[in-house]
Amino acid sequence: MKKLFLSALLVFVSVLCFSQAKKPEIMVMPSDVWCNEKGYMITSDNQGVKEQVPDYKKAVKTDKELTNVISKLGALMADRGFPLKDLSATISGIEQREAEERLVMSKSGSTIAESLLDKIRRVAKADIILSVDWTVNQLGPKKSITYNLQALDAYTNKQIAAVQGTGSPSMTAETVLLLEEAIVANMDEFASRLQVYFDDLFTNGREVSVRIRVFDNGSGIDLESEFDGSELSEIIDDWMYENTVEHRYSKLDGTENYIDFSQVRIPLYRENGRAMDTEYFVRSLSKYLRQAPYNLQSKVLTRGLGEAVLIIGEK
Amino acid sequence: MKKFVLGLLVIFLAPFSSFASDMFEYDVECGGAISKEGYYMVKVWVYSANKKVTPDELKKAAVHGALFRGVSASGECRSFKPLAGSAIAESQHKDFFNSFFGADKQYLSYVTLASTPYEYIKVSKKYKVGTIAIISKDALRKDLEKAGVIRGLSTGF
Repeated sequence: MKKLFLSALLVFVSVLCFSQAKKPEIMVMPSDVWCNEKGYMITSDNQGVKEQVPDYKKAVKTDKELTNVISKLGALMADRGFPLKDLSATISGIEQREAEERLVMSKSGSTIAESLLDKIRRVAKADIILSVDWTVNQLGPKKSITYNLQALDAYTNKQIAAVQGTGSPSMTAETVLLLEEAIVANMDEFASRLQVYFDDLFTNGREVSVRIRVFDNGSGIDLESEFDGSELSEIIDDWMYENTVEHRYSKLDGTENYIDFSQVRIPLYRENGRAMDTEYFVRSLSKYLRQAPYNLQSKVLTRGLGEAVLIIGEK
Repeated sequence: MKKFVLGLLVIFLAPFSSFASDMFEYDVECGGAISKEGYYMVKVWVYSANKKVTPDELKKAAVHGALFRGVSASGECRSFKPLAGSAIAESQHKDFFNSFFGADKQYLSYVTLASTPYEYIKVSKKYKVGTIAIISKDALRKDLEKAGVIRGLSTGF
């Protein structure tokens, strides 16, 4: 009897654990504007194009104000049940994987462009980026802080919550103290806006983008190829309809060679209760197309967290 | 006869008087900026026929205001949204708030009054008695989350 009771308890606890949603991971990053103003920029070679990108590594290693802001936001978010991902540790992780990253390409040689920001997002697997910046205003002997905190959905880059404002001027307080005050004063408002986003996640799922491409490998397969009287584009469209939350997705554009879907609402969990991400969602489509009567091979590439590309034709 | 009618009236009204929503008339407004983390300063006014208002009444009004009314931004104050959401929450969680504002006076744990003298303003035939109250809003929020009265940011995850 005791064993039966214990077994029942174990099953109950397991069910309870699996029904628990994956808590979004949050990471604080300085905004591009702030990095630019402070001179934390670096020239990057993006497939032959030189561009200025934020040097997050230099910023977190050298800027004390930034370290304080990240710590303070971290403490306040932890207090609300959301410990933050550490930007510094994430950058170190990326450096270790850098060599491996360069090898990620298809067997045909196709690569997918990914910025440093995309890499940080993918490696940290942060669902939400808190982008922070501030300016110290000096008016005579008085100092004040203009503070701006944005929460960005790492999947779509959309702003999901934001607070901004200028604190009271002070003659005596140090910048660090004024910054702390600004963070604390805005946190309640920020949290309530974040709550609205979480409520939407629970109801409507996570928003991502899905792109479909066709390998030009001479196989003759494209999105107009027919299977049982239906074109491949229609088959994919039907699959999206069946597998999105409340059938919510938007077909942006499409030809025989590509389809772009945006505002694709994917469920937060898989059927087994584990967390769903864009890659897994598109991989499910890949598996579906591998079955008869389609028997199509495909490759899944991801960009950041919120975008996946399915290239049909080969692996 | 008059006493008998009054007695009946008291008996009739007694059950309703236990509702937390039966608050005395009060106002809350910005009490100034406070740098102490997790706290909010309000100016609380309680209306009275005479000038006799107890500290507990002022504290009760201050906490009630923080829970169900909030404070608009003015001067150096930032706006402060009602912690419990809105006045509807009071009837939705009637049992909790009856106990919270009832005989146990649980609200007293979340508020302190400034040691300044009370202010008195004559309004028509009544008096407004006011003082500064400091609300421990973070502690109050956490306890409301624990009690399931409000949703925490991590609720559901």
